[in-house]
Amino acid sequence: MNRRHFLSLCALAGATPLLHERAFTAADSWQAEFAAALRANPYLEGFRGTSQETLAASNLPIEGRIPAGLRGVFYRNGPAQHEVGDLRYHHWFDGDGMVQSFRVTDSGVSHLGRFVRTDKRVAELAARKALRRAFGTDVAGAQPVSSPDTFNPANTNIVAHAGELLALWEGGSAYRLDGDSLETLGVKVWRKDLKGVAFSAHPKVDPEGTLWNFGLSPFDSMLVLYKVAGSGELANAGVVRAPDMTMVHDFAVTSKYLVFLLPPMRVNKEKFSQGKSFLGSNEWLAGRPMRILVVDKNDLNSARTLELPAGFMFHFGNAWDDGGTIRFDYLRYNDATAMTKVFSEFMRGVVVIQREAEVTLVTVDLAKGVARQESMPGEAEFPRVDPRVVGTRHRHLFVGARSVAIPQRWGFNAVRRLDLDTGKTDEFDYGRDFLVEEHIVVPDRSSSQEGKGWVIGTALDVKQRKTVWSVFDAMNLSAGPLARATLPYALPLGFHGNFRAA
Amino acid sequence: MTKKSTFAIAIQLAAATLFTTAAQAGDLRVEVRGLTAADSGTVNVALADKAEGFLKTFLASQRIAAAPGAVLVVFRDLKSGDYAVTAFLDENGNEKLDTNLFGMPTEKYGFSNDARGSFGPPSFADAKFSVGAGGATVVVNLQ
Repeated sequence: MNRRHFLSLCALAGATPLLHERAFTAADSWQAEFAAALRANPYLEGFRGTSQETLAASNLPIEGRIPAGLRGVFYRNGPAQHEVGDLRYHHWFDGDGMVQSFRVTDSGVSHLGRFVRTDKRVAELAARKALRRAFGTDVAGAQPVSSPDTFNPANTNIVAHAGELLALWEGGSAYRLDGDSLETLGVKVWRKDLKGVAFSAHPKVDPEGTLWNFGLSPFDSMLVLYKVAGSGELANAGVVRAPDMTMVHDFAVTSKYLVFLLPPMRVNKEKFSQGKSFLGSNEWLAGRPMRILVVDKNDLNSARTLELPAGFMFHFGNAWDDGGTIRFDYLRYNDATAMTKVFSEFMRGVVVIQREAEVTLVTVDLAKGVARQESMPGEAEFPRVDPRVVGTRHRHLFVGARSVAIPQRWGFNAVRRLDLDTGKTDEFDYGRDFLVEEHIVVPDRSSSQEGKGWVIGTALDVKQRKTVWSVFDAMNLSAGPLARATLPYALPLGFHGNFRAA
Repeated sequence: MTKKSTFAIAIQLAAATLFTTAAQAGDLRVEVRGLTAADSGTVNVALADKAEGFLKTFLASQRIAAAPGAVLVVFRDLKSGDYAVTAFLDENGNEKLDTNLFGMPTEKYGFSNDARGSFGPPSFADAKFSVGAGGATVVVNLQ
């Protein structure tokens, strides 16, 4: 009986049994270091951040012609305020989420960005200083954490489903937003016993409209699974347990299964309780494999475990099964350096260049209980597929790609389509002045054919200090954008987005 | 799916009625704050007087209808000594602190001293305060 269950609350309740907040320590040098580095390295512009609650611009200048079939709103999310009071966060993942919307109509493209009014943001705006813990920063004197939502910045993804718009973070609740004004409406509660349970940032919507997702309580080694009907009603939920977990960013679905990859890492409860950040409480389990968890969609309370060689990952492209075999692709890193070092160091202006992830194809033989993998050459991230093929066999994988190496720049210069049948690539290189963000596939609804449609996405034009939005023919990226709209300002570099067709 | 936390069980077990003692008695006023107009249900308030069995057994408990702002309960004629108080908002009248699948409370709760535990519920020592012959007043903030 479950002392452990209450412990889970208190595990998250964090460092301090003290009755009074510890004194806030003096600011460190990161703010000054970043400001100095930015003066010398314009590629850091995307990590400057903003504290403006909204950013808006209408009638954006457009080059080219936007396809008539492409009407709707492209939503993106990402951490946008990197400094709170005199604290500059030590990690890209820490800042409050700001949702960006690009509204495409017959009269053109307009932009609206607005911060998600999380419990954390509201409290910290009132106090004019950091009050809450963060994923990757040790926040001295932070308030006790009564639930993960205490430090939920809602900064990772934004998904429209069943008439709702949900701003997502992987450790806590979804925040509901108004689809037009982007005003925050409140926390999404799927069911009373799921209130405050994490609803992760990479839900998968299958072609029938069913949304699958998961939420993690790594301190309890518990993974909650959600099945949400196309109507928006929770259809089913379950719990599986797996020891030695830490954050799990993404998963994949097939027609029969949910698939997870657990790198050999775990979060150390003791370190977290002593005030270390979540990230700082992680330990790499040398010598251990990467685990594959396979959950049957018809039994959300048990999981089968298989193994791959050690590695690290954030993102899946897609997965499918044909009876006894599951195939999926993911972006594989050798280790967690991207998360533990690269995404931290550039917050103080230090650019660490390491090899980016590689598209890696995995075959899981369920009967034999073995999996094998093969990586494809090329550095890439932010994989997406056509929404019409989620969970079924796909041919085309779309990624941000690094094909030009520039020493003082982290990130991607190109958007690339990988034809997994032929191995051929189709790529548009934005050029050395651009940092390419996630690009997504928007189906042309006049066709059911995979790839028939458009690829849309944003990139930061470092030279102009402006963010551009581009649309491509999904099957002909190398022809360059069909149209491009330019914002009058630079947006903070963000993470993930989705399109809601008009 | 609906496993109860130790805390929830403890509150359920806190069936003891008002306990009166002899000499050196004072009244303890417990002001429970943190309720809004959106909150409805019953506030359960439980009193403990020792570290042993804390959150498993209680000296006394009381229930009072929720009201915006603050509600007040009084434990009368307590002998001088150390005490701790915990309270929660029972929204659905099932007389337990409901929890989510991860075991985290889904109803508001709090302890005297605003005590919060580290990898466990707060201890009696974290939440304790003294009641003398003249009685005492404490605040429990529900969160």
